[in-house]
Amino acid sequence: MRRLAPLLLAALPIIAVIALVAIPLVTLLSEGLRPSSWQVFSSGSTWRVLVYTVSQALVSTVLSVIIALPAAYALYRLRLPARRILLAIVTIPFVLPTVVVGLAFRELLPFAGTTAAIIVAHVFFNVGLVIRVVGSVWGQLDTRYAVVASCLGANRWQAFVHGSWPLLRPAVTAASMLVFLFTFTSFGVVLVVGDPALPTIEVEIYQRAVQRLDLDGAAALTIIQLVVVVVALAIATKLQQHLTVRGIITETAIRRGPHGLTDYAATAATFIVVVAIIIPLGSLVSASMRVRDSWGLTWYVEAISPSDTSTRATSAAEALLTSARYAVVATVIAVTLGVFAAIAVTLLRRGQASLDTVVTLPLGVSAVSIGLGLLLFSISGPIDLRGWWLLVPLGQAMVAMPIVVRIVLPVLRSIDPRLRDVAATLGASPFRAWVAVDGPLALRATAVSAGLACAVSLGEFGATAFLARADTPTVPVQIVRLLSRPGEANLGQAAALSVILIVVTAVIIGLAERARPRTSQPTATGGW
Amino acid sequence: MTSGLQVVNARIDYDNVDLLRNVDIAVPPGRIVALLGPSGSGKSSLLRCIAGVQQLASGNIYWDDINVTALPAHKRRFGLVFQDALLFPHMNVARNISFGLRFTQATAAEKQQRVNELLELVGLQEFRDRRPDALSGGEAQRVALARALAPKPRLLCLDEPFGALDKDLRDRLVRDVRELLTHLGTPALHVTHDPDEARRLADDLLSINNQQIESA
Amino acid sequence: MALLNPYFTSRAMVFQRSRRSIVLATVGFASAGLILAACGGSASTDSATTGATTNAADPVNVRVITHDSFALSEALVAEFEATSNITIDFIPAGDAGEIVNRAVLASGNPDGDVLFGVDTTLLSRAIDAEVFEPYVSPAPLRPALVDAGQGIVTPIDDGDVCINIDDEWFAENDIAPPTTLGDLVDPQYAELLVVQNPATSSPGLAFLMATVARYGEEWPNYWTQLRSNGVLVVNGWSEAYQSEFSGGGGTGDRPLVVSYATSPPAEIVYAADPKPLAPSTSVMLDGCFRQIEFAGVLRGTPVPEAAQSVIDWLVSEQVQADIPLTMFVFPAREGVTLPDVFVDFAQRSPTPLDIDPSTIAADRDTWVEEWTQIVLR
Repeated sequence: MRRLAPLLLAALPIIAVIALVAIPLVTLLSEGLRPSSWQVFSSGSTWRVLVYTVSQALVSTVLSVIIALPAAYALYRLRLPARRILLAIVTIPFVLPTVVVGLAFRELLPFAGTTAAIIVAHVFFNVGLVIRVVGSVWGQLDTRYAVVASCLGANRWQAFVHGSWPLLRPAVTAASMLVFLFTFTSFGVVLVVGDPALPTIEVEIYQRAVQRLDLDGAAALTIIQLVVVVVALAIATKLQQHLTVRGIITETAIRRGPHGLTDYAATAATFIVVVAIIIPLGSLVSASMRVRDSWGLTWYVEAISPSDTSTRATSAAEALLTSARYAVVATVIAVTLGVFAAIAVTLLRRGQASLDTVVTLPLGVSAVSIGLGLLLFSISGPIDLRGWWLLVPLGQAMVAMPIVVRIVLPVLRSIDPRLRDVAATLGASPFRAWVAVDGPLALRATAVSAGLACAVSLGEFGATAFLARADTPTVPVQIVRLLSRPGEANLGQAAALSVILIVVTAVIIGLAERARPRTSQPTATGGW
Repeated sequence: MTSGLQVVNARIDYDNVDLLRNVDIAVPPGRIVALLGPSGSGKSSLLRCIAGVQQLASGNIYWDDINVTALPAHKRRFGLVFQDALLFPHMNVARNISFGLRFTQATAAEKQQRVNELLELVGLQEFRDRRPDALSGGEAQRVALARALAPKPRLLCLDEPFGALDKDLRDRLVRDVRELLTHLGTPALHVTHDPDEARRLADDLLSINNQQIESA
Repeated sequence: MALLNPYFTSRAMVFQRSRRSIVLATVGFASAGLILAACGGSASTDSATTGATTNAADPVNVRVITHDSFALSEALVAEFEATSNITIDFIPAGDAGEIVNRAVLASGNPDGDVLFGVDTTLLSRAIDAEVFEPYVSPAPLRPALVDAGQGIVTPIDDGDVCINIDDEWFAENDIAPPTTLGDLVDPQYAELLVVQNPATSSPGLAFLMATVARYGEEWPNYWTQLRSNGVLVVNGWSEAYQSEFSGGGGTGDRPLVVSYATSPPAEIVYAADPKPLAPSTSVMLDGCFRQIEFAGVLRGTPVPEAAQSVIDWLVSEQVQADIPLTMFVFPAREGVTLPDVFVDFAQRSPTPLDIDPSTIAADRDTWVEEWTQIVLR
């Protein structure tokens, strides 16, 4: 039974990944590797699109890291007033729907519709991620290494570069890799605020499939995208192995007040970042309340119960209900599968890394590819899944599951296995020992991951754009639809919907974060 | 006449490397036996095998002449105390101590009473509701002891339980533990690298020499 | 020593009890989940699955997928729903190109019952993908239009896609407006034209076809020149006409837009009182492309008869008479009286450009792809 348990637990997530990601992926590959796709592979414009996508991702990543580092230092090593609020504000962008962020910047930036706008939006999104990942390691870093360096004659900068930086590098690398992946496969942001003449690969895949009905060409592009992701992951893994240093985490995070110019500069940078994050959100709120030349809540009212019912278009209220229903189902699925997978990974004696890779696979396959793959599979495969209402939540669950695993797994791993031994000697069977020792922590981690999975599902756009039916749009789909129609009313309603979505997301994340255990320990590569 | 613990011709290994061979140990009822050995000599592994959380490479373990080698840990009723107390971090002192009582048929009142008894035995009556991270090293170790003793184990395995404490505290605790165990009549196997400690706590001494156990 | 401890007598039973409760809890949770899932699913497919099988007293729901420019008088819809046993949900789902594409992707398993807005340029794509169940309404429709439907879809309206000109702007800036397609690449008209993406918009596609029909093999050249002459591309007709066009009540700053020869009357209809006597926009009659708009029954719909009734209603006298002033195109039905403002100011090109449907079918996708590479990349 002991040996069976991890296998049974792992079965469900593995089946899900195979059915919902691997098989559609294989369908994509086979459609995309037809002789007709040679034209796509050899076309100059394809490579231009690829180069463009990679460059904007690299620039976004570098900028995100550079901007995040001072803030990470200030927030995790200094004693700042209202630190928790600042940290919360900094984290919010990451959980926002991409479409909403795109709209906020479209309204805010005079240079919307250019590459610069995309990069600004990407930095907005990801700076919080880098701050948390790097900061949580930085905060626990054993400062004695820098002290040793100082005593040996290094000035403050040299002590940092030679004493602290090598210990931070794995976390920075991990964060950079994540940011690169997210910006490389960015879809909603580019669609809403990008240059229409310069699509990224993800946008091109979508437009090829849905606008030009060139499914094979879209599939071919998916292959190229996948290859780049695999290469990037391989490089990052190699870098991390090469750079990882052990034994650096101390138990307690000691924060001291700002002393000296560097500290104050970092603090200032942090406040600038926080303000820079609030401004776009503010512009969104103002766009949602601007009615002709004055202010009001007309668009909110209009969105919930439209006055013009002549064409009986889907009201925002219906879209909200649809999104909510999908989110609940997707969260339940993602959390169940993710937790099963995480438990299985910790219980397995062999093959831990393989299982881990399998369930994280959807993270590397972009949301658009998942959606396109499922669509293609339905069209050309043996089972027609189109119109099956569970399809959208399943697609969303696949996007959210790796996140659940990444949150729950480190928590489970951090539990000293000897605690289970103690429980055993006190009379607890293996199952009850697990429940008593791992259970409470696992439950809390599950709650935190559920909040995040719910937020991901609510804001999910890439897969949903393919799979949602015309009469049941989700809120992000509805927002984009409203944006494609001109007129103040449509813009106002789109903004109102966006604000509603932001508030709901913030509340859910806020609730979930309360479940976070007080003493969560970071791993050497930075926990979430 | 019951015969207590007997380990017969056991072999302990780690990663396919033999640590201990031809191990024959007996802990008669009511006796405290100390096993002396340097770090890495396999004594902790031996203890874990006896407690049931690790498997012997070969050999048998008997309790009262019944072969318990294949019996899982939660049925063996051998208590185990580690060097770091390993209290359950999300439970307070009282719940840590009463943990083993969950798997018995005791009523809530009986459990309360037992916990109080043990708190008194280890001198921590005021610490009922404390959380583990609010305890000092010595206090945590005493709670760990109380926890192990609560379900009235047949044998207590002590894996260098005083290693992390300073000298004064250690001396005091050694004295208290010996008194406690003798009072309760619980046999114990105590593993340590400190000969002084071994002599003060135990009735009989064994030592590890060249991968074998011999009387000291 | 090893006294039998009273605490341990019935440990086995305790374990059984707790394990049992865990199993029960899991089963309960799982079944609750399944029930929730089933309920959630049925809510949205209720209309589809119960439509055809319940008794005649329950109204049947028909979902009509339309493009974003669809409009009809609310009173007409209400009247139809009152007299028939049908409720209609109009689902505007993007531009004509988008909704046809989605219908193709969903072929056989549609997310609606009727598709309105497939036009002559897109029809072959839909037919090839077997999107429709053949149905042509028996109402008296203009024969040429019915033929264009190839017996699969019913024509609802038609119009000419032409360049619309903001006369006021040209008068103010003292430039003579262009009169031919060739004029549009003239530097004096730089940065003045806005067109729609043929991948998403049917007037955009119609305009592309017009250039193909006019210039044959040289059409890519024409568009390269248009691009260097600063043509603006947007995704949909509404965006082009309402946001980028300077005339006709639009808020933009470009005085040339791809629209319909029937668009100028709209300005008068939507103007505040006192209404202008004549529209400030006119139509460039060179380079027009005739476009017929159809409606069809989607293959796989659970309510085919009701869908047919809705199409019949769309070509009924009342609706066809309403169309000129709501969608600003000509009705397909014969003998419909046109409103005055239409008679006065709506135009038809005397020599519209046209391309053989089979050529459209064969080459459209290549043209759109090439156009995308030339103009948008």
